[in-house]
Amino acid sequence: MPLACAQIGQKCTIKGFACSCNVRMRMVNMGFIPGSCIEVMNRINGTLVVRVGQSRLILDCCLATQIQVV
Amino acid sequence: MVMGEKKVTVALVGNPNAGKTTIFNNLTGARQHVGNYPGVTVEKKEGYRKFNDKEFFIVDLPGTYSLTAYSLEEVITRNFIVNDKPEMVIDIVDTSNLERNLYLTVQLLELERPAILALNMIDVANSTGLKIDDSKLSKYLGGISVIRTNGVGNEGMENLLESISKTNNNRNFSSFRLNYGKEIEAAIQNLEPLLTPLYKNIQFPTRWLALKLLENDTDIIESVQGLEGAQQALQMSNELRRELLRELGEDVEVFIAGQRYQFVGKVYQHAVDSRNVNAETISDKIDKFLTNRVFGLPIFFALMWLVFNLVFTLGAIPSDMIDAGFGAFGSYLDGIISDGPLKSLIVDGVVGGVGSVLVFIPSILLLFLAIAILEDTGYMARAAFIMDRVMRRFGLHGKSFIPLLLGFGCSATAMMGTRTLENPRDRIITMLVSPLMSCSAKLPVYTILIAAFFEEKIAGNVLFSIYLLGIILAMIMAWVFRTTLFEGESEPFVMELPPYRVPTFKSVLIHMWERSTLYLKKAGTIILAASILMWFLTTYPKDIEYAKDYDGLLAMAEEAYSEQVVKEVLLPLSIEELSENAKVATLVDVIQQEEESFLEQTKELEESSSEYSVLMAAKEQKKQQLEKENTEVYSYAEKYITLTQSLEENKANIGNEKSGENLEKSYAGQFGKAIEPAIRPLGFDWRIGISLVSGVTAKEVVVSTMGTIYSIGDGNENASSMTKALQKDEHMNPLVAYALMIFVLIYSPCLAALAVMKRETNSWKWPAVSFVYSTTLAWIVTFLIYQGGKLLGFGS
Repeated sequence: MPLACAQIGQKCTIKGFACSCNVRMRMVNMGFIPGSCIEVMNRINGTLVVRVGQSRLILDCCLATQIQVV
Repeated sequence: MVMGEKKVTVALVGNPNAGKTTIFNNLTGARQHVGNYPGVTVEKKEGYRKFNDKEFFIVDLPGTYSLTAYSLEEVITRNFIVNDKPEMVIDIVDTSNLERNLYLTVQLLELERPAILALNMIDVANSTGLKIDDSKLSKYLGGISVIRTNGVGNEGMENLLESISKTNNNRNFSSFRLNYGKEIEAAIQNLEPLLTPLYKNIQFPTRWLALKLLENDTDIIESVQGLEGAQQALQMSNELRRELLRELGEDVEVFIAGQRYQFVGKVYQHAVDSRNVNAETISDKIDKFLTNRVFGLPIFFALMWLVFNLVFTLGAIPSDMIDAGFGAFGSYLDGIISDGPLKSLIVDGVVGGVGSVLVFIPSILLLFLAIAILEDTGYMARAAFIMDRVMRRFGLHGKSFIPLLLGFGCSATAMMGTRTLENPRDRIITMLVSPLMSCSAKLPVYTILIAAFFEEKIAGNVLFSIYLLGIILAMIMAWVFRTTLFEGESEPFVMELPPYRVPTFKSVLIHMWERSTLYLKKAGTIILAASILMWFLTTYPKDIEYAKDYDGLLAMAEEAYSEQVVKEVLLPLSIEELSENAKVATLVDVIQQEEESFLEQTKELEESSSEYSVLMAAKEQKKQQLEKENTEVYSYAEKYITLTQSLEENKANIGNEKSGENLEKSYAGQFGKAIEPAIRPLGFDWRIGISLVSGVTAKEVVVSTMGTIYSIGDGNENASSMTKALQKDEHMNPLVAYALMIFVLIYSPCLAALAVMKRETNSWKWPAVSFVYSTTLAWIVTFLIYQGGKLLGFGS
């Protein structure tokens, strides 16, 4: 499912990306690696705060729909 | 640098928010210089530090998460390391977020330059219960030196410098080599022999070059393409990429990144003990409140309201002192410089013009201080998170929030702040609308007009309405630009949320000072030059033909006064001069002193206030006492004073009329008259026209020009005298004042902002667009407000 559909507090595993190469590599460089664990910590009007490893990252809702998780 | 001293170039590299700049400031102190990398709008910071017998030239490279080619900062960092060949690279990592930071470390080591790992924010990491085995970390990273630092506490700097010296002396490159798996390693082995001959032209390590070609790094491909012998390597790398895609089942660059993260994960597992670390940090706990889904936005607005209120309330105290100081200075100069063009230039042009602007520097510095505190604590990133969706509704990027907030301080600074936006479309839209955030330069205009025409109890609401209108217009224009000139998708918003930190006094001050220097330089250059220019344009030409004989009128007034004094005072007392009757002369002095004292004590008081009433009652009592004690001569003394006051008023009116005609027939006045038809529908006359035109140089100059225009024989250029002068102008009323504030809010950005926009966009096109659209918008909105206000009966 898209990350945008995950609930606050839910932990998921990144499966892949449905976005351009540019965006994908930016995500990868910030720690969004397929197979890594991601937790949704907060959401305001669709914009998410997620935890990846020890990092906290803000993602807009559009980007969150392009990240596939299980 | 002294001859014989060795210069060692040291590059500071690291993720954003890892503390590079704090360490840079610690190492270099005041010996630093800020500029731009050639041809690009990325900031370049360089500085010097002497240690033992060496001079270290320290370069603070842009913060970056990796060394791919997806952003300017990444390309600048790796090109600097390879081309400039710093003797030492210091990788500064945020120890509390070590795993993610080591991803960059691994890539840095592959560039084969001497390196040191600085475990920064070690205090924060220790407080979370994190334990790091430095020797194991070093071992896994090819023997790199590991130094613990605390940038905020200025700890570990000596060890760092010591380590730089030792590593530099030993020339001990780390022997790091990451194994990417058999498929990738085989591909690298096939490519390297073809890349070795290219080394003399492009001095990247061949293994690293091979990896970049396999990753399809566009910047490297471009650098290599034109080189002799490169075609074969490029062809082979394309074939290898296709094969690897089939074998690995995913993109090569993603696979390589995955291998790096896997390695980093292993290093972290072996070298770091995180068993005692809580998954939920203190920042997480604070964020539950400050970025709460329901309360986050109201808390944010409340905080912004508090910040702006504090800034303007606290700023008023030193502003009043500066205002009084400049007033006194102007009067002092007026007394010691002999009359002539030089005196006029200094008192009216320089002191009057620049002084009326410098008064607002305390508020501006405080605003930048507040913004620096918000940034250094980490709250600004939370604000961007809270505001992201709101910004997107209007076609703006979540990251646009920070430059727009900076726009309340200075438009030029806001435009520089758009560098954090990767997408050029997002940057340009943000630059075009940021001047609509009412910058601090416009504040002097609002403050003076509101003080002159609006009651104190609604002054705050009037000011707030101006700011709010600016914000609303910015959102509307951003939406218009996004749907017309800049159609297309916005850049995805992904940003790290730094942990909350207690900012240090030093870093906040440095941060505040960096932003404020642009404004202060503007005061010393553009505003000074504009004030002098406006003085010249409003003072010359001198030899004009007056409509009236003002000297004749003055002489007639003096003659009429003399006749009345003789008739009504001197003849009844049988004297020829006032000094012949000591009692009357002394009484006149006493009454005048009482009046002056009363005016001095009540100048800041409202007539309706109780203090005013008390002082008035005391004055009346004193008057009655004097009358009782000097019954026979009191009426004559009063008559003399009344006639003298009347003469002074008459002379002042004639002087004002003459100065007014001087101004009307000056170069500035002629220009103002020429443009008056265009601005009359907005309620403006030629004098406001001159002020608005001068305001294109810098918005503060609107006030300094009005100060020059309304100075009118009064050498005291302070704000309170300008307020009174504006109130006396029969053309001005609250509606015109409000319309003027709206026009100043919206019309062309100042020269400094336009110059920065030109530099940031590398073109005159966008500054021209900004000038035209904002001035047109200003005219339309002001027209609607003024004409609408007239229809509703305001302004009469």
